[in-house]
Amino acid sequence: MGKIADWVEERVHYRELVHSQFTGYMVPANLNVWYSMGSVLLMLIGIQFATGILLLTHYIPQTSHAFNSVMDLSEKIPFGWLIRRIHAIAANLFVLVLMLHMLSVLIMGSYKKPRELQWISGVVLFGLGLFACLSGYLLPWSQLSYWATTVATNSAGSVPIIGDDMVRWLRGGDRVDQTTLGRFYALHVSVLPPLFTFIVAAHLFLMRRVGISAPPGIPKEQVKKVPFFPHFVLEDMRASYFFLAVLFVGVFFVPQISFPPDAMEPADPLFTPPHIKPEWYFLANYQLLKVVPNEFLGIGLQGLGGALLLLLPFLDRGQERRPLKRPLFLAVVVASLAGFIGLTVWGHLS
Amino acid sequence: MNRRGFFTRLTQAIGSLTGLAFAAPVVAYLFPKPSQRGNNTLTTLDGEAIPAETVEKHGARVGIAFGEPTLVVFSRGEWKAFEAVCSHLGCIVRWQPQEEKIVCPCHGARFGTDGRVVSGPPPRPLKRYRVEIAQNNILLFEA
Ligand code: HEM
Ligand code: FES
Repeated sequence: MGKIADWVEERVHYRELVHSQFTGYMVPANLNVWYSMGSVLLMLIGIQFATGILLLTHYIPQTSHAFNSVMDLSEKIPFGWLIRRIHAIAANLFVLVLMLHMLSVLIMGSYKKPRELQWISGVVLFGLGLFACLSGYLLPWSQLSYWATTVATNSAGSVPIIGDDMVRWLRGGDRVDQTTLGRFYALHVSVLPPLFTFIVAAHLFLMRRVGISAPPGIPKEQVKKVPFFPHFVLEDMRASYFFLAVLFVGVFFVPQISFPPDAMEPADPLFTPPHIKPEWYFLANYQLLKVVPNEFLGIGLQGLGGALLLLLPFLDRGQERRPLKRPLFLAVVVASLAGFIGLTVWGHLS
Repeated sequence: MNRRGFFTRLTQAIGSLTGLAFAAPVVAYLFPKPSQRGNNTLTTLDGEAIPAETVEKHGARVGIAFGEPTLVVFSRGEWKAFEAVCSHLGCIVRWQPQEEKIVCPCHGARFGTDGRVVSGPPPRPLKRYRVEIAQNNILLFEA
């Protein structure tokens, strides 16, 4: 082993890289648990890639076979049910942790200059994450996936003027059918994964290039430093294992989060089962569209929210990062969060 | 323009034109399918005609006509037909015989037998068709 390592070292000098990137890379000792959300997300992406590729070995992207292929996979293939449940539940967890990660960046003001590009790449990753969930959700071709996708893609129709065309472009036709499945399948397994890889790499590159922020308060120069490996990696592992535990509780004790009864029926384009709702992470937007009486206003509010989020570092240019010294901003964040949770619960109950 | 500037422009121009040439067929390839008008006979998803007598027996049935999900109702000896896709978010409506209304399972919308919205969020009424029965087939015509 050692000999091989030395042989490689002599040629590529990797030890210097390992030192500069891991063991000799010093990070502020006061990084809090929120700084570990990034590693948790990396772990979850790894889980999605691994389980996704395994699912791919049996999945058939055809309306007449898709449902049976995932049913066979869960019932006949050893541990197929486990792979499928992990992929579905980890997708939910992925969105949740993305939200936590963004929230902590908002509250600690880490999106501010010079980290604008990191924030923007993060918002793009969030959008891609939601799109990965939307496209993956259709693949099992169950009643649930068929009708949730019909309703979700139809919501795009409330965009003024181009709305109807957007719906047709998303679906590849008037209704959700084989063309839609083909598109979503291609997106889900061969467009989004490399895009994720690329943008995550850019996100991490920017973090190293610009330097990691320290929690607001004490100036970064005055904080004690610890090596990234092993000190901070251990912290990251603690958070990752916590979320792994959450994942396993979901997979073994509450799999019905992702597989309610409608997920066990094959899609029937002529029969909509009662109580169709999008997944929890789309519920707030869905409820907003439902309660705002004017369709344009509802979709306009959402577009505005998205644009504000994307351009935030250019709108809020103050130097101050401490949340309590930015009461107005903090109030807006708390109010938006309360609004989001409120709408989600309302959507769930109604 | 000096020699280097010219080469720079030339490289950029060749690159962009090649990109455009490749992009055009991709866009066309992904263009949504045109709506198929389809036949005016009420059929199942697989294209088999639905016999009028089965609808008479059950009172209502959703099938495909003009390539779209379509609801046909037989009530009080009269035939009625409507587009079956709710104008709100696209769920399939169904006939509610007790109330003599068309209801949508998604957000509880109700439509009258003239297709008009009685309650709920849909922005437009359901389109209606005229029905004729010929040799046990259900034929629909624009009203
Ligand atoms: C961040 C990345 C990903 C997310 C958030 C995600 C999300 C999802 C979701 C929500 C489903 C529906 C699960 C169900 O109801 O059964 C799904 C299904 C599926 N995904 Fe992914 N996925 C990701 C990456 C991948 C990758 C990398 C692949 C393969 C290259 C993949 C392949 C599949 C397949 C084949 C299915 C259909 C099987 C099934 O429904 O059980 N996914 N995905
Ligand atoms: S889809 Fe019919 S009421 Fe919403």
